[in-house]
Amino acid sequence: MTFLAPLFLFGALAVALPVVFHLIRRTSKEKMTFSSLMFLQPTPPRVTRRNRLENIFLLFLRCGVLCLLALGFARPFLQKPIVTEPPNDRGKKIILLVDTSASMRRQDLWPAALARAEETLRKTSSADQVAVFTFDVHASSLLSFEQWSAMAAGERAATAAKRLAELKPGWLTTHLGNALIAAAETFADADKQGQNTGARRIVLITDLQEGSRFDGLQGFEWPRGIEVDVQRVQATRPTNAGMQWIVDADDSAQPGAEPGARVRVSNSGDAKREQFQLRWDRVTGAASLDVYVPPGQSRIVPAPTLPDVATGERLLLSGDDDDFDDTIYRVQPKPEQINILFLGDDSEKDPNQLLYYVKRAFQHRSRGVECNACGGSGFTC
Amino acid sequence: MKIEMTSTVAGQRGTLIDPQTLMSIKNLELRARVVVEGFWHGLHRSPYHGFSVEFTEYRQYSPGDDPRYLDWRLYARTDRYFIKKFEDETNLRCHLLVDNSRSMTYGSLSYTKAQYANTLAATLAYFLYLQGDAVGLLTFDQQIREYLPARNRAGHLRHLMLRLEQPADGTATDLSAPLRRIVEVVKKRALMVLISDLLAPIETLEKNLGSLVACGHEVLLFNILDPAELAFNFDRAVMFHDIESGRDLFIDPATARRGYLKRLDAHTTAVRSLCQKLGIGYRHFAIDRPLELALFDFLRERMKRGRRIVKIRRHA
Repeated sequence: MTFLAPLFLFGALAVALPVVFHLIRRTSKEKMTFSSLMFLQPTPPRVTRRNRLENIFLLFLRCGVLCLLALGFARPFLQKPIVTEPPNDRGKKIILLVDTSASMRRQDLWPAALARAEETLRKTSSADQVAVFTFDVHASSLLSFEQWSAMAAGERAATAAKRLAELKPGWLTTHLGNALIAAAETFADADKQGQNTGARRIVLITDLQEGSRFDGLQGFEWPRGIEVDVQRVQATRPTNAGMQWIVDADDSAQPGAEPGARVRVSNSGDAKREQFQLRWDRVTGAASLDVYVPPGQSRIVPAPTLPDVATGERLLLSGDDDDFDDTIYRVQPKPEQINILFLGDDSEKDPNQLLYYVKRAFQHRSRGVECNACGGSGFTC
Repeated sequence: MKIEMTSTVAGQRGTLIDPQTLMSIKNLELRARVVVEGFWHGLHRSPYHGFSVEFTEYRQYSPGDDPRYLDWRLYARTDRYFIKKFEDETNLRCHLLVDNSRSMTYGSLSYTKAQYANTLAATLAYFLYLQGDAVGLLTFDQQIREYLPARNRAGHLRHLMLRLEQPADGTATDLSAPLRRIVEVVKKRALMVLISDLLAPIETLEKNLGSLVACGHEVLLFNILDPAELAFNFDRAVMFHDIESGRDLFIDPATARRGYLKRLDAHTTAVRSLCQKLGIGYRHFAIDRPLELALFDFLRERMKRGRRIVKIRRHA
């Protein structure tokens, strides 16, 4: 028998306590009624000088309970002979999943992710098979098992690292569930092709950004024997606020106008700062707007006002540690121009003819409709 | 006078009734009657002078004397002003304040402190009643349980005895509320006899007893304790149960006795010095003491006070 936590066996020494308690002269069960104890102080019980222990059975029970407790905490187990499998010289199968979503653009997350990936690749043996996947909304293969196997053993890790180093995070969101499912299915495909090499492991390098959608995994039955090693990279300066332009349906119906333009400012959950500023870039005379957003929350605020003559192109958010999500490019929508060609010889001044009404129906230029009439005889305009 | 009475009592000590024997009499009034029989001659003679029947002396008038006391007949005869002095037999008003707290139900003898206190109160009441004095009763624990105003009419003693025979089922001892109440109720000067074991903190005792004295009442305090409380001669270490608080405490008497006696003595000394300071008669004894001696203590305190007042008057 062996113990997982043999130090707990020292707890069995506590059996001395019940022995001492049984040696202490027991408090008499007899009660003596007295008028008032206001002049009395409690007397500590004295140890009897008799060597005779009382209530031996109860003492054994108490000692037994303490010994069993100590034994239980020490976690004993019986060693069984381990059935050793024949040595597997085919190595492990590893899929390296590297997050290339927009959140990885923050600070130095991408270099850290590359360093982790290189370390993982460096630890692989020549018998291992490695595939490299990158993922954002979709997972895409950077290096397949076949490509890995086709390369010389000494070049594999360096080639995979080089391909990773050539990449940069994109601007798409993270869909971690899809990536994991894709990696698991890659393992399943490899198994079907008879390339089962034993241990299978997915090394996931990501920042585990909030909203990295796992919901795809809920309906997916995870294959047995696939181990996921999550290696999280974290930003050193956690405060990161982002903003989003809110467009109302009414605004889109009025091109060029910006009444009640609003911005949603959100703060990261682990942020250290709560006070941010909004301002239009390169607009003289435009005041900045202070925004208070507690960590993990968002606030919708009206966009800073612009001088009448100015047109803002870039709205900047400052006050956080990271430039990520701190800029909104604002392009004024151009009014849609519709040209209507009227074919016919109608006079636009004759109320009995159609062109008269067509011209009046589209005479407001603000609606962006241009009506032109052409003579019907020659179709020349 | 003091020597005479002391020797009298000392002579009678051999014939005093043992309290255990006395307590075997079930009827409280009968117990009181037995005790009082030997003290029938203890009539109080009031030291207060006033208009009454018994003339004591003449004194020549001096400016400032009350002209109501001038003897005009003597003036008519002698053409001189004389003040006429009388000795008045007043009816004493006495209030018996009996502690009915739960600690009084303790007794290591065949009777409890409460039974002894009730018998002592009944004895005093019977004695005073026979003299024509008005006797009232107030029993208390943390608050007032029973109150009978001081009266001396037919049937009042019977009522008083019935109230005294009721069992002591109170809780803790607290003299504040009863003493405040008696100050409020009793406006005329009276004799207050307080019978209690005083097993309570004495922090508020000075204030409450002081207010009684300040109101002009004469106060006599009988502090009675059980012999076991005084000696604490228990032999076994057992769990002691406090009757009042219900608290249990493991006590080894061999270890705790010294400290107990020291603290009890300090408590008693504090009460005694407080009584001396306030001019209160104080008697502290065990409940195995014959009740005749307690009655004698009562009379001696009365006489002592009477002589003191006469002395003060004469000096004045």
